[in-house]
Amino acid sequence: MVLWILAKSMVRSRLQYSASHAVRTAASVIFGMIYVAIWQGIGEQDPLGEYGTEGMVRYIAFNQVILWLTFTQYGLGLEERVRTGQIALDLARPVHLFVFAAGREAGSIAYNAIFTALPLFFIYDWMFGLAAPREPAVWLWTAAALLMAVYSALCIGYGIGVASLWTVEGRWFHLLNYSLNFVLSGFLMPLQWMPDWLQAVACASPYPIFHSVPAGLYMGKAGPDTLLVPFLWCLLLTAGALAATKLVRRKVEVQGG
Amino acid sequence: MTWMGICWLLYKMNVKARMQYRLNFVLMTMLASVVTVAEFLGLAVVLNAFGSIKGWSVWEIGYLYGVLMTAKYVYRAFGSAINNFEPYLVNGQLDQLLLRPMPLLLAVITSRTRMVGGELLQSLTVLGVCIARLLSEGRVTPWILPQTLFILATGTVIMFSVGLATAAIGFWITRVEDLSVLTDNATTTACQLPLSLFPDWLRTLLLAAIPFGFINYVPAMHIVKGEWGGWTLPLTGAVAALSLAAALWLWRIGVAKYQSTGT
Repeated sequence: MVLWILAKSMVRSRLQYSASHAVRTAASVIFGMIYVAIWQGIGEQDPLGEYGTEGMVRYIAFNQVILWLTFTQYGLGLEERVRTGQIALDLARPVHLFVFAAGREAGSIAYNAIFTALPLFFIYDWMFGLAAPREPAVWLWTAAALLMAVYSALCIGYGIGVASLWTVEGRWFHLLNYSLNFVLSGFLMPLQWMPDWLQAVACASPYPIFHSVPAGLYMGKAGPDTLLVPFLWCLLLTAGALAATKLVRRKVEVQGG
Repeated sequence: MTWMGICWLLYKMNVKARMQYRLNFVLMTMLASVVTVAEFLGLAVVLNAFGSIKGWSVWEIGYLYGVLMTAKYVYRAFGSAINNFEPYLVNGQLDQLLLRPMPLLLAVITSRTRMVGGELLQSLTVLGVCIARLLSEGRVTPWILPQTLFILATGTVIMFSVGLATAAIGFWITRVEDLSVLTDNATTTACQLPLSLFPDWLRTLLLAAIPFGFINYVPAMHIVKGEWGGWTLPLTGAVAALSLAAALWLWRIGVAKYQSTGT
C-alpha cells in the first residue's frame, strides 16, 4: 500500500512536465536512430552474423525502448534529500529507506514505461518493424527479465544514493554506472561480438541483465534458463542495499537544510 | 580591473572552492576519467570488431571523436553554468546575478566552474594518438596540427553558441534540461561518427539547425579525407561566428523577457 501511494505520487509529479517530457521522447527517438544508422552502415559491408542487418536494427531499437525502464534518476533522488536535510526525516519514517526511495522511483519508471517506452515501441515498430514475438511464453520470459532489470536498477541507484551521505560528488558514481551500463550491458552490440576480455568483465558484472538478457529473450536468441543470472543478482543487490542502509544509519552527515 | 581580469579572479575563486574538499576533488577527477574512457570504449569496441564504417577507418573516426570531445570539454570548463542553466531559472539564482554590477552573461559564466582535467586528458589522448597514426601512415600532412587547433577553437565557439541558445530558450519555457538532451547530448552522440552514416534529414539538422557537423565532420572532410576543398575551413569559421552572433541575439531578447520565478 505504501509502495503504491509513493509510486502514484511520483507519477503525478512527473505528469506536470509533459511538454518537457515530449522533447525528451523526441530526443530518445533520435538517439535510437543514430545507433540504428551505425548498424545499417556496418551492415552494408558485413553480414552481421546470426543477426543480420535487420536483426541488429531490431536489437538496437528494442534496447532503446527498454532503456527507459531501467533509467533511474541520480541516486533515486536521495542526494537532494541529503543536501536539504530531508534525509534525517526519511530515516525516522516507519518505512525502510530502501522501500521509500525505490517506491518513489518505481512510480517514475512506470511513468517512463507508459509515456516513453511504449510510444518508442510503436514508433520503432512502425519505422523498423520490431517483429513482436507470437509465443506468449516469450513475452512472459521477457517481462520477467525486465522486472528483474528494473529491480536491479533500483538497487544500484539506491546504492549510489546512499553514497551521498558520505561524499558530495556522488553524481560521478551515477555517471560511472551509466557509462558502464552503456558498454557492458550489450546495449550497443551483442556481448558475444565483444573482445574476450571485455566479455569476461561484462559477465562478471550485473550490467548484461539490463539489455543483453531481455533482448536475447525477446529476439528468441536465449531461453528462460538465462533468467537465473538476473535472479541471483537481484538477491545479491538486495542484500547490498540492506547492508548499505544499516551502515549509513550509523553516521548521517547532513549538508544543509 | 578589466572584465577579463574580474572573470579570471572569479574563475580562480571557483576552482579554489571546488578544491576545498580534496578527497571529493580527487575522486571526481578519477571518476570523470573513467567515465569518459568507458564512453569511448563503447564506440571503440564496435570499430574494433568491424574495422571501418562506410570508408572511415578507426583512426579517422577517432579523429572526429577527439576533436568533438575536446571542443566539448573546453566549452564545459568555462560554460558549465550555461550548460546547466535550468536551476538558475527554476530556483531564482539568476535574480541574484542580475544584481551584480557586471554583464549578466559574464556573471552567469563565472558563477560556476567545472573541472574537466580528466575528460580533457582522455579526449586529447585519443586525438593525439589518431593524428600520430594518420601522420605515420602518410594520409595527412603536418598541416593537420594548425588546422586542428583552428577547428578546436571554432568547435568550442559552436558548442558554446548552441548551449547559449538552448539556455536562452529557457527564458520562455523555463525547463530546458530535456531540450539540452536534444541539442547537446543527441547531437554530440551523432557527431562522434561521420555524418554520411545518417539519413538526409538528420544530416541537414546537424549542418543547418544545430551546426555540430561543422565542429568536426565538415572540416575533417578536408583535413583528414582530402575529399572537400580548403574552403571548408573559412566556412567553418563563418558558421562559428554566425552561430555566436545568433545565440547572443537570442540571449539578449530572452533576458529582456525574463520575469523571475516569483516566490
